Amino acid sequence: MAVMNVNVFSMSLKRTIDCTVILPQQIANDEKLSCMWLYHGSSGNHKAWLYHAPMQELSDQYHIAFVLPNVNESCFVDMNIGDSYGRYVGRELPSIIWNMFACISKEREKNFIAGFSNGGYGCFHTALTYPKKYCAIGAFSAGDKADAVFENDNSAKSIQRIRLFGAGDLHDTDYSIIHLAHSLIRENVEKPVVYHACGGKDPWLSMNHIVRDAFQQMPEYDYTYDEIAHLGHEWEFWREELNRFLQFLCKKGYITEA
Amino acid sequence: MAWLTIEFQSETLHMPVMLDVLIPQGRGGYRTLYLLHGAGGDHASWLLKTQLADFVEGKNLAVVMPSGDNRCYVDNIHGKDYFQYVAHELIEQCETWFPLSKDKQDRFIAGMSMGGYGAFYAAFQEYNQYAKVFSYSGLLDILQRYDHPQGLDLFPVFGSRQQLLDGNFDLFHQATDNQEYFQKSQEGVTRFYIFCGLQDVRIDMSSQMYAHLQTLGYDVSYETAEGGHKWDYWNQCIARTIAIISEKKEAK
Repeated sequence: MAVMNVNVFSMSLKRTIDCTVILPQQIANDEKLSCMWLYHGSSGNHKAWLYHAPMQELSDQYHIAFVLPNVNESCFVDMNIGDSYGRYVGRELPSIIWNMFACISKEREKNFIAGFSNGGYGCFHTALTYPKKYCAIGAFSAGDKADAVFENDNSAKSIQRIRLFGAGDLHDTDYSIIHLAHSLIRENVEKPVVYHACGGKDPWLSMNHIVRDAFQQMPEYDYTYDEIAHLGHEWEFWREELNRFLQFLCKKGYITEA
Repeated sequence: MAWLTIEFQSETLHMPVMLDVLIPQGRGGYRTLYLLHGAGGDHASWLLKTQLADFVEGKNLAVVMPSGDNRCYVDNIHGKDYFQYVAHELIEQCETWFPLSKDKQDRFIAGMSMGGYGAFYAAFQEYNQYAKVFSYSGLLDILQRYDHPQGLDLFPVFGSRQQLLDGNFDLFHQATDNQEYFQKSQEGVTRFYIFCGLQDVRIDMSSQMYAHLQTLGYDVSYETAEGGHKWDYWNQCIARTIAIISEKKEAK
C-alpha cells in the first residue's frame, strides 16, 4: 500500500488544497491502474474514507487506485456564493492527478466515482456534469438537492442552502441531478452506469426513492438500486455499499478481484 | 507545484516508511533530485528548515526526500538495508508512481552531513544512476567519524572498525576502487560537487575528498562559502544545487 497526502495548487479555487491518494502495493512497470474518485459527506474531508473504511485492503483486493478529494461543505458544486468546488473536483483535480500519477489511467472506462450523503449527491452531480470522464457512479444515501424542502427562514441551514445553490427552486437547474440526467439523454452522449443505494432506516430514504423512481423512468440509463433494510445513514452502510459497488464493477467487467 | 507526504510499505526495510515529494503540476518527464537529510533528521527536515519549496517553484524538477533513520543510507551490518531502499526501491517506486524521467542525465542525488555521505556512497555504487551528486558539509571521512562518534552509535550501521574497512564503507577507498567508471573523459559520467562552509569544523573531509577525486581523474568541483555546519548554509547549498541542475537543462 501507499497512502499519500497530496497538496496541490488549484486554479479554480485560487489556493492550495489537500487530497488523499491510495495506491495498491504491487504496480507493474508502466501499468495504468483503474481509479475510483471517492467523495466525503457534509462534515467530512479527504481523510473520511481513510479513517472509516479499510481503504488499503480494498486497494489491494481490487487492484485499484482511490482518490479522496476535499471540498469542505460545498456539496461538490460551484457555489452560488463561494468557491468553484464543482469545477475543481470534477474537472481540474482529475487532470492534475492524471498528469501527476504515471500509474493511474485517465481512460473513461477505468474511472469510477462514488460517495455518500452530500458526496452521494456530489458524485451524481460530477459524473453527470462531466460524463466523458467517468463510466460508473456509486451513489450511497444520495438524494437530489432539488427535492430537499427549502424554507428561507434565516436559519443556519437556509443560509448555507442559499450560499450553495441560491434561494430558488432547483429542479430546472444544473444543480439538480435529475435535470442533468435528462440533459444527457437530450445531448445523446454516453451515459455513466448508475449504482444507487440507500439504507432502509435512512431519514432521507424518501428523497432517494424520488431519484430511484426518476431513473427508472429513463430506460437510457443502466440503473441499479440497492437497499439494506436494517441500516441507516451510517458508516456501516457506506462501507458495505462500497464493497457492493466494487463487486458490481467486477460483474460489469470494469475491474477484477485479486 | 504539489507537495506529497507519502506513507508506503517498504519491502526492502519490512516496515512502513514516510517520504516527502515536491513535484511540478505539469505534464511529466521531470528531472528528479533525491535529497537526503543528516543525522537527527527525517523526511521533513529539508522542508522545515530551508526555502527548498521556493527554490523549486517553476522549475521542471521533482524532489524526493526519504527518511534515513540515522542509518547512513548503507546496508547496515546489524540492521536494515537502507542503501537498497534509497538507491533501488525508492527510485523504482517513484518512477512507477510519477511521470519522472528515467534517464540517468535527469536523475540527481544530494545530501547534507550524513546525507552527503549517503549521496556519495550511492553514486559510487551506482555509476549509471545519477547525472550529478552533491555533498554539503558531507561526512565524507566515515572512519574519522567512527573513531569520534560524538553520540551517534555507528556500531549497528558499520559493525566493528574492521568490518567498516572490510565492508568497503570508506568513501576514499570506494573512489579508488571505482575509478575506472568515473573518468572525466567518459561521456555522461557522473559529476561530483563538494560544498562546505568555511567555518565547518570538519571542512578537511571535504577538501581532502576533493583532492582525492581530482587525483583519480573524477569530474569534480569544490565550492566553499562563509558558513558552519548549519541550515542557513545548507539553504544556500540547495539553492545553488537547483540553479546548477536547472541551467544544464536550459542549455540543451
